[in-house]
Amino acid sequence: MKYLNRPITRRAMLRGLGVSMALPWLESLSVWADEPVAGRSSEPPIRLAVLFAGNGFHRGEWWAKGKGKQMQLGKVLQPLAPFKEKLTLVRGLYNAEAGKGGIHSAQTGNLLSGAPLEGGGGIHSGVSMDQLVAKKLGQNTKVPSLVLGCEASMSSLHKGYSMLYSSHISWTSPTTPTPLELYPALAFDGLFRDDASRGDASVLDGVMEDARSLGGKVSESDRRKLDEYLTSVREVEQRIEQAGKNGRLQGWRPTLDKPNIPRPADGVPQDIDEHMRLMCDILVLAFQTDTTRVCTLKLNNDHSSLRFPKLGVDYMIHHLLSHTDNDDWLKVNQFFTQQMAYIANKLDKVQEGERTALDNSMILLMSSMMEGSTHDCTQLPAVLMGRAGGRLKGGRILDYVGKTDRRMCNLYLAMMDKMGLHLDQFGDSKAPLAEL
Amino acid sequence: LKPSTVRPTVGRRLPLAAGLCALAFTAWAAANAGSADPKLTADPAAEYTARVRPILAKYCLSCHSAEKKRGDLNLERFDTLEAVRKNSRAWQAVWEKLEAGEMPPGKAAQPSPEQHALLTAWVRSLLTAEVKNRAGDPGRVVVRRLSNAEYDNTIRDLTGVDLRPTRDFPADGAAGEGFTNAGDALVMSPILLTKYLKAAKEIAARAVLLPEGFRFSPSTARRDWIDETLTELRKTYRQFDAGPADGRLDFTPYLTASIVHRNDLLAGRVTTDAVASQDKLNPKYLQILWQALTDKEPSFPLDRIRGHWRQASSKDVPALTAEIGAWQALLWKSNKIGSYMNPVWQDAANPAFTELQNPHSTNRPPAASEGAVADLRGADPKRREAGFDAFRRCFPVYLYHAKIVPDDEIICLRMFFREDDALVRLFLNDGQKQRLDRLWATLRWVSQEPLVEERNYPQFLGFVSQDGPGPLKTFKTRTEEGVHQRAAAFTKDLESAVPKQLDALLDFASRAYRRPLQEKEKTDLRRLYEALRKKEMTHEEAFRLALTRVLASPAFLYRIEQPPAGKGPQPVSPWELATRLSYFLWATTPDAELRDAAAGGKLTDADGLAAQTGRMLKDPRTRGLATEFAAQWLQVRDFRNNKEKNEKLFPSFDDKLRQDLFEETVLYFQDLFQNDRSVLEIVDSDHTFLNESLAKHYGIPHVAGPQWRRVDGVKQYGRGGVLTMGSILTTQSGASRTSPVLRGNWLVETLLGEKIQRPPPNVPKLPDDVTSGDELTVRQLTEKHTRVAECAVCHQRIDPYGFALEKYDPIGRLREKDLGGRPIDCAAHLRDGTQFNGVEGLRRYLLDQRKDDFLRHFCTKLLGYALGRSVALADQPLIDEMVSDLKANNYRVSVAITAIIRSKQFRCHRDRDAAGEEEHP
Repeated sequence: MKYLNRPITRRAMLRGLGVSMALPWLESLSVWADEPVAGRSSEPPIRLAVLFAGNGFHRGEWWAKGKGKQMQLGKVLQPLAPFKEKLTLVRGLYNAEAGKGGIHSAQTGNLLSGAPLEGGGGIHSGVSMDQLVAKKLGQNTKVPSLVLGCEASMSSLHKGYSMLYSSHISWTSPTTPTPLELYPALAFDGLFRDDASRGDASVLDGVMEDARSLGGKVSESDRRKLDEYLTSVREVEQRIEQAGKNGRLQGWRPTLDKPNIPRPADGVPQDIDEHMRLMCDILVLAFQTDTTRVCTLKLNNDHSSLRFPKLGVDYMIHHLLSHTDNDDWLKVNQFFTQQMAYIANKLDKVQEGERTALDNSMILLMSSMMEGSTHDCTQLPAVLMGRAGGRLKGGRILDYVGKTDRRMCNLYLAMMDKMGLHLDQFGDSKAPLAEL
Repeated sequence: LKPSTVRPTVGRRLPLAAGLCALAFTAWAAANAGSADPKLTADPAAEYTARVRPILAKYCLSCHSAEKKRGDLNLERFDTLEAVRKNSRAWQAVWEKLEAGEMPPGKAAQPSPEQHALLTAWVRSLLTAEVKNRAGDPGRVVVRRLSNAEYDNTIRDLTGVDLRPTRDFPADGAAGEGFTNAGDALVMSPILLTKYLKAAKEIAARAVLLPEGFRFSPSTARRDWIDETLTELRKTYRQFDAGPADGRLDFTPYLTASIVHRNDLLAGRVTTDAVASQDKLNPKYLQILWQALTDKEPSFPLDRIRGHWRQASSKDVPALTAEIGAWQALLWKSNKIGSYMNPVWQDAANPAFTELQNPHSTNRPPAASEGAVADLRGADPKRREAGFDAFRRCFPVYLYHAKIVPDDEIICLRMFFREDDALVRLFLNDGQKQRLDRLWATLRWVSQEPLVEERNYPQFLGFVSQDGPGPLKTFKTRTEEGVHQRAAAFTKDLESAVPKQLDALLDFASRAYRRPLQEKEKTDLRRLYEALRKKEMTHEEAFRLALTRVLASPAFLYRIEQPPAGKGPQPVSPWELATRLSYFLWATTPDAELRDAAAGGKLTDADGLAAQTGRMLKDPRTRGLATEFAAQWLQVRDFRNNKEKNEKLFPSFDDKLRQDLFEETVLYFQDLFQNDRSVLEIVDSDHTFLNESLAKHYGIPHVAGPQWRRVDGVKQYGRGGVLTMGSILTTQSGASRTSPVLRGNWLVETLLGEKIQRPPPNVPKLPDDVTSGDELTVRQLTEKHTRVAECAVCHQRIDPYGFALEKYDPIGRLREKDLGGRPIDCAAHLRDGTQFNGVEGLRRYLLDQRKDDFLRHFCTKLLGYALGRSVALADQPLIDEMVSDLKANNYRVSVAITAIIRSKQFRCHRDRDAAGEEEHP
């Protein structure tokens, strides 16, 4: 019996006694178990987050010098100063494919995959790094991955490339951008509300049957499209099955077993500040409760039309502002790095054994161009936060400017490695970034 | 166009992509007829390998390799002619660049004039052959999920309730020609599927089961369903009787008519029906009244009334009305009905004769009838009663119980009370009565009244027991059995309705799937229902879940087409064609008439198809075409969410104004389609659609009231056509200032279909003062910026059009001075030397010199929308046909639409094996 082989935690004991509540960190008591079970480590898991900001950053103020405590930061990165020792700045990497199509959308749709993008009104990219990790780690958590956005996707074509590319860095399949959840309340529900009602499974079985019987009578390409549907049905079914099994045992227990913040109000918050704040809270909550270990948060679109009245910058939309490189642009840039700082700060306060949740995380903040005024994607801004459970040193700058091999996918391979997904190649890369 | 003479010259107007296609096709035809080109050998495959590929290898592949793929073009993979033929789209781009003299770029090594000529001629002959071979190819159409807009519209038309479930769905992406109806961009994911499932459940929760099937309600609460039925019932009563809302009989107009037309009626010169129709009265009651007033049979008190009536003129009507009213008060009474104690509400009152005589009695007859009492003296009581009844039959106080819901007791067992026999007898024909009966049956069904009554009966008895044991016993004896019988009968009715409701569900599924169901689908749905019933679910629960399955099924969510296997292009089935038609013209599901046409085989003949097209274009559902095609083409479909303006500078740019500006564009195009106007009106017209608030925004006088209307003569106020639409002018502006670059680029790309290059890497930064703009006008700033040679190449192509629109401010208002109070210069100088001024000049220029480019691009976009895919080389002959049809038919938009619907592309699909053949650029 599988059940008997699993290590028992004190929390499991308490739960058995009818006590179930948010408990402080409890190390798993592997002494109580006969032997550790493969894949059921008593170590806290590593979490991966990718934060995206569109239209690049201020050309003169994205920099860092020195290392560790002595590190100096450019103004854009200034909000991250409290976490210097957990920060890794990666300079000079880029995606070669991103330079081949148009600006904006064709630079963004393959950001996390390095895949060639189809133009001419077609949709074809590559599976993104976060979704590969989600596929690998997904079965360990209730939700395989969380894909959030703070700006609605755009429905148009820009220079022959669909703006889907501008609005999605996360791709489930080469033809399927992962839809983003824009509503904080719905994101929250997706993580914590199990409203699968009686009969849902029968309905899903039914539509699965419908899709199967239709599949034989359509063309090959349509069948592939219907496969998207079938896969989605299957995943939702699994989700429903798992909903009832929340109390399953495993080696490690999260420090929180249900939300410690209220469900956000319905609708999209009026202020972008509040919207981003809520999404960051949900990201932290998802990690803290171990509801998912992979989260992609699109803070805005590339070619974004957000405005920032609270910063006193409401005369221009984000995209136009990126063409100015002025002080207000700097202010807006800092607002985005503050989001990362906010997440880091919250995670760093969650103690998971000897380390904090931030130490157990790896958060990448990036954009699809270095700076908006020139649409320059020959090097990309990228900064990592957290220590990936000790696999990432922090307090360092990895500089590839001037080097011959500057493939962004090298970084992704290295990051996937640290997440426990060991691939021989990804995108245009065949070797992980050695220095990470 | 001798290729050898075409070399890059900066001053030359670049050939335009769309124009090129036109040019291309005619040029190919010409090239085929008489060859002025370098000699090509007869073996094209050898020609390619021996002569063409080496030129490519030498001058092109260093950039357009598989590795570099500069400009998104990989020429290296074309190692054989076969590979070339599989992807002619890429070669169309090559040809355009060659003809334009843009490639190889100036700095790179150049082929000799002979090599250039050979290459160009070869590509041209290739494309000519390809167009010829592929013309009418239905193309690669990926199965389309309903877009959010289509899904919302479809749910609206299937359920009759505008629920708009996609409000919190992720936005759809655009693909193909830039519309959200192309399969490639319509993705599915677990998140989205969960949302569809949730939406399906929410829709199913709104199904209201009825004896013969079901309907949908905006609400999920039975309470509301009951109210909806009550509202419908009340509305129907009011339709039948225009009298007072409380159901009182207003006989005065009838009395008046009978007096006014008395002589004519008596002489038989007119009929009561004719009078009723002339005076808008109920013919049945007028006839009954006339009968009662002219009847010779002695009757009291009618005789007295008849006497007065015979001598009355129209001025006597009030007195006569009062006399009849007094008799009504005497001969009628109302009972309380809430308690069940009384079976009727409007009841006959029987005043005792002694009472009638008593001068102090409140029951004394009215003064006008004083003498009448004397007449009654000594009369036979039976005769007296008969007379009262005759009066009552003609003059009830109430025609029907208008409240329906009794409220005359504190605790009431009855949910509803029907008493409308007077209405039925005096006013209604058989059809009207049946309608009422049906509504009452619905009310009984929806409210489940018999079950509710049975449930509440014991409690009610407990309450009325305070009336004392005697009356309670009587009451119980009289009612108890009835309550149980009614409930039992109702339960039986519920059961017997199940098969009919399941049939209705299958019927609904067929409408949802847009085709007849296959036997297996029918069985599957019934089986699901049965399985759920076995899991101890109620009929309603199981029914709703089966409905949920229909609404979450791929057959509903996707527009699935099932082409036959490998025989080349095949006609789509009539049902698939109906679906293509309705989503093209309406962005929603086929209606009953279109379904009938499909079922009756009427769509397979040209006339039947044309008839449906004509009918559908006149339908208001063309709003779907206006929003999903036109507004999306012009990039204003999401205008209502445009929050991009500086609120301090433009406080009036609020939700209301956004809504107004959007509505103007939609109504303009809906009118264009519905009334078959000229497509040139898109560029140039003297009318638009306004309400008062938008007219105020535009400064157009004499438009009062919130309703939308067409307003003519708007050119004098600087409006007419899309160039002056606030929605577009606003979208193509910055947050605080206008942007001639954005507006010019929009015009060039969106209206004329030119392709503008991506800005070169390392574009020099905009001058810092571009946002402050204290000294220079926006135009001057833009000109300063684009003076840089690298930028000028493109900006010279786009900015002049934007300059011509400078008299429109960032939210589309007309202005003489800019925000800094500087006068506005809207003169435009094009690179080819053309000059014009302002929007008037721009309109003339577009119509006089660019009409073909505009028409071609409009047709291209319309075709791309209709087919849900990118327009391909094989579509060029069809676009040619559309353009020439338009020209021959006063540019009426229906001509272009009809050409599409007639086309092979629209009526056929590739066979199952060829369907997915893809062209990768």
